[in-house]
Amino acid sequence: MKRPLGVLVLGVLILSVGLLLSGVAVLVLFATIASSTGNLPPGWEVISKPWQFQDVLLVAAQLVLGAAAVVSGAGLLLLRTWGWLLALALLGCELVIQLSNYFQGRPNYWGMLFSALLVLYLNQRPIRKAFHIEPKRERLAPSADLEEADGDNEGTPLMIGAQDT
Amino acid sequence: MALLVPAEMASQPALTPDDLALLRRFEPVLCFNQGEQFYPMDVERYLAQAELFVKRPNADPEQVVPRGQLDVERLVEVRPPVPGSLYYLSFTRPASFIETRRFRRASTLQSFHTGVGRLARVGVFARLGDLLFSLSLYLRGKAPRGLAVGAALRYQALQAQGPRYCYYGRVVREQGYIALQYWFFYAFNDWRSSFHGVNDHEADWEMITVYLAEAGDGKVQPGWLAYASHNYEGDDLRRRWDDPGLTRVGEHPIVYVGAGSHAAYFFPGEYLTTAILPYTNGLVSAWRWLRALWMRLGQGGTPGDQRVPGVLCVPYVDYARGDGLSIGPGQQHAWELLPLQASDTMPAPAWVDGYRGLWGRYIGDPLAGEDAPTGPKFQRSGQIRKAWYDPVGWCGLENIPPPARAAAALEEQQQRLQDEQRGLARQIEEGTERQRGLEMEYEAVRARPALRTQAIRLEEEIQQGRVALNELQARRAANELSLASCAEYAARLAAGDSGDPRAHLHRPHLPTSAVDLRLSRLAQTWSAISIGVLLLGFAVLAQFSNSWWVGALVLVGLYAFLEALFRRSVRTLISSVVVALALFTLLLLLIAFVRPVVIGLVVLIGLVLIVGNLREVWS
Repeated sequence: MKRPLGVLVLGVLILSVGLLLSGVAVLVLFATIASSTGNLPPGWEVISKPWQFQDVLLVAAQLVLGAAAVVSGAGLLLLRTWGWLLALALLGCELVIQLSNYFQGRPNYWGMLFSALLVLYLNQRPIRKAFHIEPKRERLAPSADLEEADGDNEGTPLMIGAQDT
Repeated sequence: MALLVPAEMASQPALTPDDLALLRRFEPVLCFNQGEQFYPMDVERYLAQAELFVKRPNADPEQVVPRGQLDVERLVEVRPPVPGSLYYLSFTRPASFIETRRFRRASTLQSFHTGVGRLARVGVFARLGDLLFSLSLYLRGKAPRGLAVGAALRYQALQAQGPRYCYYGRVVREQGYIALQYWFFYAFNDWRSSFHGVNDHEADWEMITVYLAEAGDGKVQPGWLAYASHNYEGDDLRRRWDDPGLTRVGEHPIVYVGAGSHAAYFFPGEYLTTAILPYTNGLVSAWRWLRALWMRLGQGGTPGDQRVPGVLCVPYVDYARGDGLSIGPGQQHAWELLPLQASDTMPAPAWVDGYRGLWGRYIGDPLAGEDAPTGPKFQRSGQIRKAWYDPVGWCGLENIPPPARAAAALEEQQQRLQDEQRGLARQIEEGTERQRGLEMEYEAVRARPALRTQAIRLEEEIQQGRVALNELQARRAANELSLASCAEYAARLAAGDSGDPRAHLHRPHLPTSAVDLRLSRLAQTWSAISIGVLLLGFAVLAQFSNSWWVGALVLVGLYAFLEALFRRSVRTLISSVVVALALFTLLLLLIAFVRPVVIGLVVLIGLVLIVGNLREVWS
């Protein structure tokens, strides 16, 4: 299936953000370790406060999110289902951060709008189809075919008391 | 309720010996589940054990005929009608606690095992719905505890005197079909108390129909089967006789009977039935409307999905494994045929038309789930059942011609299409001639300023004529395609190919698959305790936490994740949660910017209108 233009743009965007995030995290880690061991290249200097536990967490989170974004971007470009899922999960994290900022009185309206629209874009049927996330098929007879089973075989819900039972 | 029956209603064509032979030839094999307590019986023995009551408005029930004195004659006796009154039977009295315990220890119910529990098969919200439904039973009224055991003891005592397994046969000739109806009467429906189902009630009427068609040479050809299952109607009730999934013993279709519910199924297995919670129809409609809107917006999901949120549903399993007793030709027990219509040798049973009351206890459940049913002909409202007056339409067969008539019906349709094509050709020819005349007239007058109005009128008329002519031509082209397809279909029919036997199915009720049942013991234990733990968690949070709603959110999130893990549906969970977050974010934005959003929308609509109108002008 042909890759939709939006997916290409989104894939490149997420990949770039991922590279940037993880690159910065790696750089910070490298500089800190080099500074503490006295192995900084000549003429270089690290200007920072002493590290606290939150700082370590922040850099670690940045590294993990960056790596996830790189993997997700690659998955999106290759039209892989896991890429779609990871992108959605990352956007979910982004929305949680945006909403948290909003409720703390520091809203970023453009960021909120952008993330929400990207989620709805990825959830569209043609995009889901491009990532092989098909709607469930109805079974018409019992089958031993395990792949086809979907747990959605309840028939029409029963209305209690609608008629004689 | 009046027992008088108009003469025209009572009239049904009498059964001929050929009809009786047909009923015998296609009589079904019923395969019951292990642990089943009640089998199809005759109403006479039931009546001999029952008592008749009348419930008048604002009065306690009053006994009309005491136990031991009731028979068909006394049941159908003409009684003065009292508006709003209801006649009902009572087969038995509830068994005592000791009798119940003794019975449960010794009965065949011991051999029934639920397997994967019903609560393990559905999500946490459906379990919450189940809790609400269980509570509602105490408000609505339910069949007394021990009634099912009382009925089982009485029925089994009757069987011990001389076992009989009966069905009531009826033959209806309608719209080219011969509908063979097999009605089964059970003394009790113990689905709830014995098999964790929806309801319990005294007496139970169930039915299956075999549809035959005249093959032309005086022989009959079986075409379709329809099994009544709860209150479902329409196409999904029926299967074509040549459906490769169906099983038969010779010409006898096999019916798998739900344990306690006695619903009929085509395939053996465990059927997950979701019952919508009482009084939530408005919420269900709103949910379906929103879902349809969501799908129209092109968002993910399954088009036409009729499911409702789990919290509005109660899950039940109808066990129809077919691993218990079987009745029918070549089985442990044979059938006794009792006609529902008059025959050469005996009259029609008087109770069919003469008794419209309930066949068992009236509990007063406003939803009627725990009240006994009425007979095969009448509904509780007094109306005749669709399955009775229109057996063909009941399962959506009214538009399907019998196989022997399919070719003729197709030929007639081809003839109609050809007639229409001839008519269209004539209209197109006349229309073209008229258009040409108008065009000439227009050419003649348009250069004359004095005839400007006339020219404008003609121009409009020509435009309208062109549209009409285009429509006619498009219709003729579509008919051409239809005719070609009909010719191909006629060739397939002539070659004996009737097409896909399952093409008519939309959402057939199927047993739960092996994959659905592949739940670990941990998942089952979790499903049994999850709702209780959730409620305890909420209570602890409310008592000890300052920001309890954050804790509640975390708890619900944890629940959802555990459920998704057990059901291997983490992908669905993630996408649903993220989409919900996105919608919530958009809602916040809409609230924050309601004024600019409304103004922006108005501006957008204005611009679209201007561009559209300008395009029209410039074109």
